[in-house]
Amino acid sequence: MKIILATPLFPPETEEIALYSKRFAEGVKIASSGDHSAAVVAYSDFPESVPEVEIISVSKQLMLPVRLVRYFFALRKAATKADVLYVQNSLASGFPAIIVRKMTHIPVIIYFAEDEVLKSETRYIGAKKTFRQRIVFPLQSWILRNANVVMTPHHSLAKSLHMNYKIPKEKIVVVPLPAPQPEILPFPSIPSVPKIVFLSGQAKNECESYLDEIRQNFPDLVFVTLDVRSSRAEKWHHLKNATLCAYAESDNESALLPLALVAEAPRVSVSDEQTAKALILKILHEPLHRETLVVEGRNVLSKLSLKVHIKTFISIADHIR
Amino acid sequence: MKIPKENKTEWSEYFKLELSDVTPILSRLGFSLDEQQVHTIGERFLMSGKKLVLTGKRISDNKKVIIKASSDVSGKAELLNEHLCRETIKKIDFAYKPILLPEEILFVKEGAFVVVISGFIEEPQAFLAHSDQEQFFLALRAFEMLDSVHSTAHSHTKIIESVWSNWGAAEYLKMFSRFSNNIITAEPDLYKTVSSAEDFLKGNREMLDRYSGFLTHEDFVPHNLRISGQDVYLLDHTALLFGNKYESVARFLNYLCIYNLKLERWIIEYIKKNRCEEEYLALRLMRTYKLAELLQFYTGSLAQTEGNLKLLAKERIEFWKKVMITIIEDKPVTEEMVQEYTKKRDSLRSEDEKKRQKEIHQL
Repeated sequence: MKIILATPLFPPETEEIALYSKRFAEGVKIASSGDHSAAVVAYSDFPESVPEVEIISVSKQLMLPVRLVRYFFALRKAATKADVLYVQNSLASGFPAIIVRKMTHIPVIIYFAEDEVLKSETRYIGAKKTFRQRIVFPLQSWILRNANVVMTPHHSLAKSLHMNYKIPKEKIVVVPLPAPQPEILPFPSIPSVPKIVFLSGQAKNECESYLDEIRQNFPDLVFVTLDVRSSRAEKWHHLKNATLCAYAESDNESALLPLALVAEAPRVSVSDEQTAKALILKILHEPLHRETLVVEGRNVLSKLSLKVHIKTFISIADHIR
Repeated sequence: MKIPKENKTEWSEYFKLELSDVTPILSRLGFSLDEQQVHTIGERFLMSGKKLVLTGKRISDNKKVIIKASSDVSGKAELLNEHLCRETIKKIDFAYKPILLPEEILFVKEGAFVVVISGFIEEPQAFLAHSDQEQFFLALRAFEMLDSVHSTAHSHTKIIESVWSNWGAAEYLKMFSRFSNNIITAEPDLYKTVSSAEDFLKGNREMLDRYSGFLTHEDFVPHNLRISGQDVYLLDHTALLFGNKYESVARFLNYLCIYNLKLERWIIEYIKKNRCEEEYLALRLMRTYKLAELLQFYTGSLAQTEGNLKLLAKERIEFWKKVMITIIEDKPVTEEMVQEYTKKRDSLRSEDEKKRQKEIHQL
């Protein structure tokens, strides 16, 4: 099978979607033992190269209508030699992809990793919407409804796709993001100290009221908060050494959550104070209980490898072809 | 006002006159100056910038501030540019991490002067006083903060174009050519090294373009960073530009060769093992470029110096030439190279300069 990965971002851009696109393109041949291949159509002026993967780039410096048209032609040409279009959710890639589908009947799978449009919609509640905002939501909805399958990493996003965009449930498949690549540090990890890693400032705030009590019980315990300002290496380093990872419900769709799995440490939602406090204390008091949770974490992690992720994609693509 | 260019005496006279003119203005604006002004002594006279950098306090609440003032045309333009940089950074809506800069308290044109006053970020521990691991993570935080501002689209260019152009291969190579001419004119013996550096850059111009469009800081060194908790603030906003993402890293690693060689190696190893080969090549290219900039500075200083300072400039030129060769050949800078140089440097440095260095590194 030949997969065309249509993406708005590709390295050297550093956003998650760009890094994911490169990893996916690199991984297809390896994960399928050479049975399948990938090419990329990306908005980029100087894309990084990937061995044995053709990268077709469309300049981002062009005016929006011009680059959309160029992208469409690039995608249509690539589609003639392909079996499936795999689109990283965005209007800039999704809209041309659906037009190509209408013309060539090539199946389209969209990966809906986050809902930028709805976020921007809610930002404008109560304010007069601009012309752009008035058309973006319906357009996003139209793109999603016209895809063969919409893959999404979270159940909460799956729910949103059905409720807000009216996507039939049978078209939605939850496929978690692959666990991030290891960050290889140039020094051995600091000897493990008991450590609670908060996956956001919000997570720390939500258990602020009982942190002192925990600290009194475990004076050596270290608290670390990760947030948007933390570097990739820093996140990796702290998570690898975490005794437990605490997250807020609002972190659920955050990129930090799959990263937390790397830690293998138990993850505790701290949004319900009583449950969270009891669970945190239990984990800290009972090493055996923690070990059981770590084993469960490892099992989850083994299902989140890039290889498993790509194989899942391929089976979905095979099913709709 | 005569602008000091040639020597230390002129700088000293310039500083005294400029300070006596600006002090009453600052008082009227509600600010007082500290008695000791360390950013004006030692080798400061060799640095670019016809402006005063002073430390002081806001009289109303004793808040510590940094004051920059100039009555010179180019100095004023530099300060205006700094103000515009700060204002434009605030308008950037395509960054996905917050860019931390000290707040600007006052920007004013008063009499013949332009004055910029910004908040002083207290740091309990200077960058180099942190453990090596902490320095490693802090540096990566700052690099990723800069990397999060990547101007790629037409709409991004529209936001930044009034303050910055976007440096790619053409701009870097043109500037390198200027460095090269100035270096060879001052020190013809450097011809071979500089030519091979130019060939290295020209042979890989694609990498200079590929990693362009990022917000970068051309003088990314610890004394232009302030560490507050886990936050890294950037100082010297006139050094911000859009260009190769490895320009900041390159400047930092060249600096670390002297001040923390272990950290330099760690960062190189981290990039080699966690980023693609092309990124590592881009880093070597930018290190070479930044070394040419350093060589230009020190070869240019030969005509302005005498005695020990001239001998020191010659030692510096020799050291950075050796570093440039090792980077082009993709070899490590060795402890021996650094020790040999720092020993000579310390014996040639003036007491004033040692004091200034101590203050800027807070060692």
